[in-house]
Amino acid sequence: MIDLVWLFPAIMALAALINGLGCRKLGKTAGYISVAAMAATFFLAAGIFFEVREAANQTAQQAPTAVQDPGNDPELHRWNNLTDAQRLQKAEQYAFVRTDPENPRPWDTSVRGGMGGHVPLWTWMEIDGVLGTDRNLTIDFALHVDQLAAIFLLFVSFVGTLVFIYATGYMREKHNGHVELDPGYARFFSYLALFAASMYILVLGANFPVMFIGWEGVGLCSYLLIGYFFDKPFNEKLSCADAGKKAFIANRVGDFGLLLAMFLVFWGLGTLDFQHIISMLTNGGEVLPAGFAFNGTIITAVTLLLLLGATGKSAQIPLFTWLPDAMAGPTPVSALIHAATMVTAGVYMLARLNVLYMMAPVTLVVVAFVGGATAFVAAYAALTQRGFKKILAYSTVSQLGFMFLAMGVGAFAAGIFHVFTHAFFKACLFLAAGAVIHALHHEEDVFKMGGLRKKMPKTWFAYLFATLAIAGVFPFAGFFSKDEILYMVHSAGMGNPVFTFLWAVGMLVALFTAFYMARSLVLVFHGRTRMSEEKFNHAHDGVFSMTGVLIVLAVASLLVGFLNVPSGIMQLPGNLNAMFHNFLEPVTDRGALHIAQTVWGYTGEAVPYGAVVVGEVTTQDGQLYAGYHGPELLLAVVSVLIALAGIGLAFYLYGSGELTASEKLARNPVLKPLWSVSWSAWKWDDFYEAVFERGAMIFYGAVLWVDKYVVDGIVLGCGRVSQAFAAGFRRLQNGQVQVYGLLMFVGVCIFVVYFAIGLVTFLADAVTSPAEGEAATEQTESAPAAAAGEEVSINLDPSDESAVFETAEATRTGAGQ
Amino acid sequence: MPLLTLIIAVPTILGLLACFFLPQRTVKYAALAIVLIDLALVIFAAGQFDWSGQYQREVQSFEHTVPSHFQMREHVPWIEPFRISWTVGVDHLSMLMVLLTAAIGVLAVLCSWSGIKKREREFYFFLLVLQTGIMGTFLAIDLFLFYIFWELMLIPLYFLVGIWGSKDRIFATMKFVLYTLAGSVLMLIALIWMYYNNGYYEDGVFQQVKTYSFEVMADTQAEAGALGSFRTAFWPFLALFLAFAIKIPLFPLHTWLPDAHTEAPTAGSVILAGVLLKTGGYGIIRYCLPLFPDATLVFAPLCTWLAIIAIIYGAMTAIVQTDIKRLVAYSSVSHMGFVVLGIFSLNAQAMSGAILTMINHGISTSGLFLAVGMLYERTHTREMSKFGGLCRNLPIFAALTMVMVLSSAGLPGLNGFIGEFTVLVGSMSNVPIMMQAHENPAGFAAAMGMTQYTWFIAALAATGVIFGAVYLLIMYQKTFFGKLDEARNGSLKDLVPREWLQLAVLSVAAVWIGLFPRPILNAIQPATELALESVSVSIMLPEDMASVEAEEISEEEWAAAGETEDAASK
Repeated sequence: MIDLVWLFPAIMALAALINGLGCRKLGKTAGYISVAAMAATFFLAAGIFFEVREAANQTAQQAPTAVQDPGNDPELHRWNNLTDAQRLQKAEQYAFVRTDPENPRPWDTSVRGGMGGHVPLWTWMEIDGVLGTDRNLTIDFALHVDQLAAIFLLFVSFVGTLVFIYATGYMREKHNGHVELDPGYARFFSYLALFAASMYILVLGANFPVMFIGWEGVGLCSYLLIGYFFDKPFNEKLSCADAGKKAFIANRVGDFGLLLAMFLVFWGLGTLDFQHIISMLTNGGEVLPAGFAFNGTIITAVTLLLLLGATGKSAQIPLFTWLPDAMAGPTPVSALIHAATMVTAGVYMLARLNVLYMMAPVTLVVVAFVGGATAFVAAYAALTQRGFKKILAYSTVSQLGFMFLAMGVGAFAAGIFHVFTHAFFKACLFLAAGAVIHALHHEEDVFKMGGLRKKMPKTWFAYLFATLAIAGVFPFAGFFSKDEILYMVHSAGMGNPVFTFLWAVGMLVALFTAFYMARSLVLVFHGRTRMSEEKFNHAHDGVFSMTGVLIVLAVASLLVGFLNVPSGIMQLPGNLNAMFHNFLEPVTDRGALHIAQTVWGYTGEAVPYGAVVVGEVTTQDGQLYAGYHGPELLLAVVSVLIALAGIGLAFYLYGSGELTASEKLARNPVLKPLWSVSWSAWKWDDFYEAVFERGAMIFYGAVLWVDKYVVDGIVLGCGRVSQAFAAGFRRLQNGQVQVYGLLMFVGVCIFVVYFAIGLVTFLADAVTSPAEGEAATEQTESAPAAAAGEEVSINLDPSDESAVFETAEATRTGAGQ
Repeated sequence: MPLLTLIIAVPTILGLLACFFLPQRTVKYAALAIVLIDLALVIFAAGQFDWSGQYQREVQSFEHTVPSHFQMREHVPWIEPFRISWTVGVDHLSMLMVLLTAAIGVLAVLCSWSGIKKREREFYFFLLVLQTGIMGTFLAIDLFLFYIFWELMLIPLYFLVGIWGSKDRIFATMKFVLYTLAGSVLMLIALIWMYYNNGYYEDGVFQQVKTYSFEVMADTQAEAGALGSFRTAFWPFLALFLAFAIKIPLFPLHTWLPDAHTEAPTAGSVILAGVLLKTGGYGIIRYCLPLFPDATLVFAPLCTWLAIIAIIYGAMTAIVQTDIKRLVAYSSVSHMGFVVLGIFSLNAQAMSGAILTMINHGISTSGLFLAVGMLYERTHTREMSKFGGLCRNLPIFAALTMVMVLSSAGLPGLNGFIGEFTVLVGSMSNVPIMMQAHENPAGFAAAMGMTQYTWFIAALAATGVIFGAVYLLIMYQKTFFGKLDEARNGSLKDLVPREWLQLAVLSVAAVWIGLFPRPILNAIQPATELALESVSVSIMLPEDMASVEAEEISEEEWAAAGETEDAASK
């Protein structure tokens, strides 16, 4: 199965191509093609997942220490260049787990290795060094499957399939009884399929550049899909196309960081393959260049630059402003790309490179603060928004902040688990919102909704479940994932006030989250309706393809949390506790274990979560994890209470369906400034617009002015000067014989004077000292020869290392004599 | 069969016949046939070509017998007293450039198909002569012949812009011709200097080797090693470099380009951007680096800085353009900055990247100019404000232009990315060489602050990827997205097969190079090796430096050691 992993992007790319070329002729078929392709990849993903789990179980049973770590063997990274015999020999050497005895491939043997299956397809770039100091650049177009990738494949294909199905219903409209497809129906599904292909490449890419194809590819599809209604305005300021452009450019700023990080890594390590980098860093076998040690300058720079890339893709401070505007795209796009999958790419990358991040504690703290600050800023902005999708967009930014917070305390598995659960409930929220917006003919203002529970019961049910999940109410999915993060943040610091502060921020954000989500629920579905009678009466649940998807996602939002129940909260029979975590552990906790072992002298088997970040670790076996079971239950209870408080507050303020209470609050002189900060989303966008749009344009205009009047001005000036000279000289050629005669006379005079002076000097010299004069002439003539003589002597002098330049010096002095 | 001579001569000779004997209306068919014949010849030559990079044999150039790696070499003495000859030959670098030229030549004819309505006969004749000039420039290995072809490129372009250009064509063509002519004069001076000063020192006595043959010159200089006569020749290097830099064009010598591009007819812009600019980069790699290794090292930091300025400055000025063609022209300045950066980073990846970027730029910028031309033909304007919403009724055009835009913006998976990526990876890794330039007493690398900040420089250059996205997306959005507010744009027709075929071919090439660049990178590798190995004569790595101090070896041994070291590293 692993060998077939190239099918993921290939199938979707093919679907995109068919839809793109077929375009308007395909009609409804376009949707079916994309759905079928996506569903096919879901079954593939399931197969891959079980195979990976099988292989991981097998490796877990083997003795982890006895075998050499294969990660250091460069030949393994050139797997497709090996002969079959060589492959078998390597397989014996490293005791690969053979899922396929005929075709062994590099599976890491150590439990913590998480190396996974490497599938090189072809050699992508190859430039050998020429000079002694050059490195050889070889980049395979290689895919890589491990636990982390398998999880991503699974939920991307699952949510993707559902969203595609939903979109077949969403992208058509009923007009006077007959169903009409959106004019860009095939184009839309072509973009969606292309997006899925890119997302798969992103997840599967075995090295930086291949991942970067997917990374930019999803950005491109996001750009195209945000600007899908390319001729429509999005809000007062932006058109849809503007919003798309904004997203792409914000992402490009992040990509700039990602590119620089790649260059630094290649410069230092000479490889861009993830597994090779990780094994170089974790195994002391190879001598690492300076700056790549724990807390080294270069590794810190690399991780910070990667963080810049991640903030672009995952909409974190400082590059988060594009995501709320990305809602200009059709709602299925917002659900799939801007909530469930693409925006989690930054989190994915951090988890993929957790070893690098664990080696750069400074960056980790930055990551934690970026995440915490983004979670707070976005959640606060979501409190007062009126646009339905805008609330959800800020909520997504805020939840992504939670994930970054998890990454920042070294709880990579917890972060990925939140990505996983978030994909379900946030997709559900968006799709439910889409159903509402669709039913109300593109009304997005929640203040103009209300009471839809009776009209759209299935949608309400889905939205309710997802809201409870995101608010973190037991036993919904969000409870388990968010609580794990908050617990990790709390325990990471071991009482360090910085982390306690971050935990408090997290708790506050949880309160906000519960409040604004419940607020949107109440405003849309409960209380008295605030829309016209006619519109209200026409509202109804969507077609089956829409409601069916919503219900599946709603049920998933309830259930998926149980995949990762911490034993600190609930003891489950067998090994059902923390299944998700245990599955990912070999990949995501590799860095933590490495640092704990090499830097803090830890010798235990259990992974010391988070605690390694601050380094205040007692290194007794098992202490770290076991020691923190106590507060976990307490913290969970507190956070559920906080969630319920937020929900309660929302129902209290908005439950009646009248907006008087909330408006009174907004007009309160104390709260008004707070309200306007939230409403304007901290004026962040205005600031960027002033600096990077208007300000930058003025600067570019100035550059253009310089180009026109200085750089080109000099050129044209040269032309003018020569023209002026020519004009001057032309005046001389005026055809008057007198003038020519005068000029000739002047010329003759000059010559006469010149020769006269020469004659006089010669005579004077000859009279005073004839012998000296002769000697002087001789010396001038022999000067070059003397210089040449100097050269010879210098060249024969072996002690002089920089003879060439000395020669030049000698020539000059020789001439001087 | 004198294949290369045929490749050079076929366009002009057949073009002359066609223009004299065929009726006006059929000339374009003849022109298409001729460029296709030329393309077939070039492809045949590429088939005959030994791509392995091992080719080397002894050749005769007047009284000298030297080793040469040029294939299909033809040598016919011409002006014997001055040892000027018709010598043409092809190696990896010129083969790639010639392939690009022949392919772009076909596109240039196709894109003029319906746009050129007056004086078709002369138009196609000049187009074909231009192709001869460019082919000759890439294939000549006699420097004087090179110079002649270099000048020959100017004449047809002067007429192409001057007669078939748009409004300000006279000003643009004068500016362009005078500007490049100034460079050519410098080049001529440098060539004559090189003719008289080629040689080596034997027992302190200068042994002159008068020649215009690049092979002989390269051999002399390589044999002479540290005692070569060109070693510290900065002024001839500068003169030669300026001529090439004007053509590239490198900031601050670029101002002729936007004018010439904007006013030229589509075919002119396509050839100008697609191949003509590459003659500059080609000249630097072919002549400046191998013949003036010392001067190259000294000037490398300065050139790197200028390249970075060009990348950022070109992009910034592109952002604020209102004329699409001008925007694309300024984007050329930015892209060619990557080429110069790649060359002067003096590193294998960067050099290969630079050569690849030349080809990529030929694909994506030609594509953009073709697209602008198609738009211009329909609307007779290039102002972006006059467009908008074209996506709706020109979907094929919009899609194909999108591919070109993305290729130009360096989207990974397309060709532009491979070039930019390799250039930037390489330019970041050139620290040791720049350190050497710092050690070099004659160098002023230290004064330029290059040594410690190489990394920072790559960072600056990488901002080009952000700016690239900005100006290209602005252009695309203003043209294809938004409301269809100009009424007359509503009736525009989508592309006819002749038109979309041109863009489709370029798109396929873009995807192909983006996903499978290995064959082309492997083809570039020998060219990279050749260029860098000749420079390596002057490069002393820090460890070599230490060994020299320790063993106190003599001058000759030192040079020899350097050469063997390089041979070993190869």
